[in-house]
Order: sequence, then C-alpha cells, then structure tokens
Amino acid sequence: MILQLPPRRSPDAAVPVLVAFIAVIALMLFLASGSFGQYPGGICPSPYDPFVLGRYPLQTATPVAVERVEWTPLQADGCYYLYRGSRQIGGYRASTGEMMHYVGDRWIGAPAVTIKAKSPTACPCGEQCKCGLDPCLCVTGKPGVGDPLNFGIDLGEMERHKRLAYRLNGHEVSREAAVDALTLTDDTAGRIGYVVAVGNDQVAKDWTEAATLAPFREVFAFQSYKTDDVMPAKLGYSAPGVYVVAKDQSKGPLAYQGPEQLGGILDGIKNPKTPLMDVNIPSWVWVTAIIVTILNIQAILTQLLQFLNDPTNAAAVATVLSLLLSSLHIRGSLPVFLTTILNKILGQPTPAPATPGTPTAHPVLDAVLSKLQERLGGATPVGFSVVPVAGADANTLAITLHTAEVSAK
Amino acid sequence: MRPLALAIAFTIFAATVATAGDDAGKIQPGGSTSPDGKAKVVIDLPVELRLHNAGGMGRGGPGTGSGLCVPTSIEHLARYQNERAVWGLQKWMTTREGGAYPEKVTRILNQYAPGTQYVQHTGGDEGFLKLALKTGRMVGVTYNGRDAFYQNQPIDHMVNLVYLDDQQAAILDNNREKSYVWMSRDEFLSRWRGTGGGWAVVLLHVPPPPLFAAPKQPRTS
Repeated sequence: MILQLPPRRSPDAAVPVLVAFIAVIALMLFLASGSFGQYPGGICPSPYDPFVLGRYPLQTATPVAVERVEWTPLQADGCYYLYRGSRQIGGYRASTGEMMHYVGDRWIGAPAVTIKAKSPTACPCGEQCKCGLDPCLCVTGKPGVGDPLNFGIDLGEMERHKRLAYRLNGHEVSREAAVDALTLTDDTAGRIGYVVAVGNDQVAKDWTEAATLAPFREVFAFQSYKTDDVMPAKLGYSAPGVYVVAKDQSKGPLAYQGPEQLGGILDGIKNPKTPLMDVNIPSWVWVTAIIVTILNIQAILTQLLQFLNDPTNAAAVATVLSLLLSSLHIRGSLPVFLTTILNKILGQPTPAPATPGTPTAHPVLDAVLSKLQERLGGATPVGFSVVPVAGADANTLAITLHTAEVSAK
Repeated sequence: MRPLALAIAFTIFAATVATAGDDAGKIQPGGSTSPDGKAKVVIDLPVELRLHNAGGMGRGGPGTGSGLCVPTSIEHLARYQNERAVWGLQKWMTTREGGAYPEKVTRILNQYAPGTQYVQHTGGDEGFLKLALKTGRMVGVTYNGRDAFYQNQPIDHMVNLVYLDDQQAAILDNNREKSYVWMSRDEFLSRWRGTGGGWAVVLLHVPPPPLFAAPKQPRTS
C-alpha cells in the first residue's frame, strides 16, 4: 500500500459515561445543525462541518469537546495525513495526487474516490493553511502574532488609524476634499453620458489626446474594454465598436472613424438643435383633434358661411385679403383680378378700373381719388378697391388705391 | 440513570448557549437579490472576475505568508471599474509580505500602479460608504466576521461592500467569493467598525457604464 502510516493509537474502551457524553455531543450537534437551514442553496460548507470545526475550534466556555481535523505532513515520504483528533482518517500523496480514506485499520478507496477535501498543496496558502478545505480559508496572521483569524490586516499598524481620517492618493485631506473627489465624477454632477469603446485602443488614445474631444471629457465618462472582457459583455456592449450612451438615447456599436466623427456625435447630444416649431404635443392630442375636425367639418363650414353672410364680416375679410394681395407686390393686373374675384365671392361690389385723372362724376369720390394719387406721389395706380367700412354706416366706404409698390387708403 | 439525567441537563444547557450565541443568524449568503427580495446589488462583479484570497510571501515561498485580503479587495475594485493598471495586484503581492494598513496600500499602489487615483478612509463614516456606492463604485471595507461562516468568532479581514441602504447591506467576501453575503445595515456597520474602527478604500476610476439598451431598429422585411 502506498500510505502506510498507522493510526497513532486505538480508541479507548468505552465506558457508560463516555457513551452518554458522546450521545450528548451528537444531540447537540443535531440541534445546532438547525442553522444549516439558513443557507438555502448556498455554496458555503456548513459551519458545523467537522472540517471547519477543526480549523476554528470553539473557544467559548461551553464544555463542547470537538476533535481537531488537520493535515499533518511527513517530510520523509512526501505525504500528508489527515487526522481527526488523534485518529487518522485519510492520506494524500502530493506527488501522485492520490487521496484515500483510512477507516479502522485499513485504507479504503482508490485514487478515483472523491474525498471532500482539498489537497493542502493546492491551497494558495500552502502548508500554513493545512485545512484542505474547499473553499480554502487562508488563515494567516502576521508572523509571530499568531492570530489564526487574521486574513491580512496589520492590526499593530491599524491601531494608529482608529480616528476619523480621509486620504486622497496617500495624502491626508479634509472630508470635503474626499467627498469632492468622489462627487466630481458623479452622474448627478452634470455628466451627460458614457462613451464606451470595445476592442479599439485608438479611441482611448484619441479620447485623452485629441483636441476635438476635449470639450466632452468633463461631461462624458469614458471606458475602454478589450474585445474579450467579461464586463462589457455582461452590460450589453457585446460587439466591438464605439457606443455612446446618454440619458435619453443610445448609439452603437459605431465604426470608429476618428475624433471628428465622435466629436460630431457627442456635440449633437450635448447641444441638441431644437426645431423652430418644436412644439411637443403628444400624439393623442393630434389624433383627437383630427377626429373632432372630421366629425364637425360640416358644422365648421356652416359656421364659416354664416360668418361671411354678415356684410360687415365679409367686408372685413375682403379688406384684409385685399391688403394681403396688395402686399404681394405682384406687378400687372393680377391683384385687380384677384380682388375682383374675392369681392364676387364675398358678394361685394366689383370696383371699376380707375383711370387716373378721370373724374368719376362723383365729386366726393373724385376728391378722394385725387388725394390718394397725391399720396402715391404721382405714380400710376394699377388698381383700387372700394369696400364698406366695418362698423360704419352704409355710405362710408374705404377706398384703397395702389400701385405695384405702394398703396394709399 | 444518572448519566442519562446528566446528558439531558447538559443538552438543554448546550442548546441554550448555542442559540444565545448565534447573534449573526440573519447574516446569510445569497445572490444579487437580498433574501427578502427588497434590495438588489447594483455593483455586481461577474463571478468570472472574482478572486479568492491568497497569502503573501512566507517561509514556504510565494503564497504561504500573511493574508492578502486587502490587495484582493482592491483588485476587485479595479476589475469592476476597469482600472487596468491595478489588475494583477494580488498575484504580484504573493511574492511580498502580506498584511496591510493604509500607508502600505499607498506604498504598494505607488509601486505597482503609479498614477492610480484612490481615496482611503478610517474612522467609520457611514456617509462616505454611501456616497461611494451612490457614485457607482465598489468599496473595500474591513469586516469583523462574527457570522456563522467564521463560527461567530471575530476576525480581521477586508471584503468588498456592494450594497448599503438604511436597512440592509451586502458584501463580497474573498474567502467565499462565489456568492454575496447579506446582512442588516447595523450588523454590517458593527462588523466594519470592528477592525481598526472602520477602514475603507475606493478607487476613483469611473464606474462601468449602465446596461446598454440598443436603439430600436425599424423592421425592413
């Protein structure tokens, strides 16, 4: 047999009191194991696993005798032997990786037998760990201190640090400075979004060096990942390229074409161009308005015609439309034609074409026309309109005489 | 009959002591969601990026000396926040003496990753932890154990804080890194301040971006 170290000694003969005592221990362990149910689905070994107990013997005053379980190396044969208390229960040969149980006075199991223990040499703590547990607990202490439950804190040095202090890059600073260091890159402090480069180191280089991208370094956070990094894939940045993520939009993956391209994209996000008629009306409002309009189109037209049937309203509309036509600065007789058409539509009298200087056999009208011609500076009028004045009596008319450029009323 | 009576009496006594001493019964491992389903870890380091604690240089060679919980926790911060310069710190430290304190962190970062921006805090200011988490950063914090995994005994250790609100906290312990460990806020603060009064380390490198939601594409066919 490969492993030949015999047990150190045989168990003593049992006496009735000892049997009762062992029964008590067994019962107590059974009761205590109730807390195992607090770890549903967990991967941690039961804290009452005798292997763990061997590492951390209870130090309370309870008279619970728990046997230590530990590996003992034997330099002579390069093997490790597993003891529970004084009784050998297993062995491990480091050179071949063979692990076996030792039960009673014989070795059982073949190298293929799985023992829920880890080779002491496989533990990153090496021999100092000794537990052979999986997961291995690196119980190490500062040499000489001998604290078995120190996982890497220098308690002697920490004594000086039991006071409120903040250190920024190794230098003691005020709390405000430490807080500033954290919050200046906080999202709530004005950051617009993220630029994420996956599998393109040139983007990272340009991000720190290109002047084009300088205005965006303070408002966009930047991360550059390698193509096979785990983190970007977990976050959805799975394909190589450049991603721009802002609060209300995201782009990517984009093929990187240089800092100018990236700067243009970032500028569009940082300084969005608002359209002149950018009225943010919800779509449901538009839909409702269209439905109401369709359902009431007849009523709307009827109301409009009723409005225009009133001569005063019609005159006002005609005046407004005439002025609008006059302002079009269209040469020729088109304005006169359009005005005539409008007046016909609205039921207004069609103005007669005026001949400058020709009396109309109406002294008042002649005087008015003469006055208007003076206002036009002697220019030849190309048309005129005569309409009743809204709100006045029927004899009050508004006369507009106009050339191609100006009009006089 | 006398031994039996003694056994029964002792059993009752032992059970009472065991129950009374289990003051950390609510500290339990779990996933990214708290056991009560009310909280979720946002600072979620993928399992593939987690490290198990190791030892520094000892008499038996690299990895056999004092523990490296502090460099391990700091490398977790770097792996989460993509601070590439700090990656590999734990392995580098296996050839150096383990055991750490604030000045030593400064020294090893200056040597291994010069230019790394970081903040350290001692004295147990809870607001510092909350602010660091709020800015999306993972925090290295001392942890005093006293939970069932450590047989309810006090330990000296550094882990990573990944969640903290007014009710609950979650840590990533590099001695059992496959899962998170959830506990109440008070239980956590007590264990944070239990070693050195409460020491914390934060890297200032920007945190990872938010989950990417690809823009909706119109269907072309």
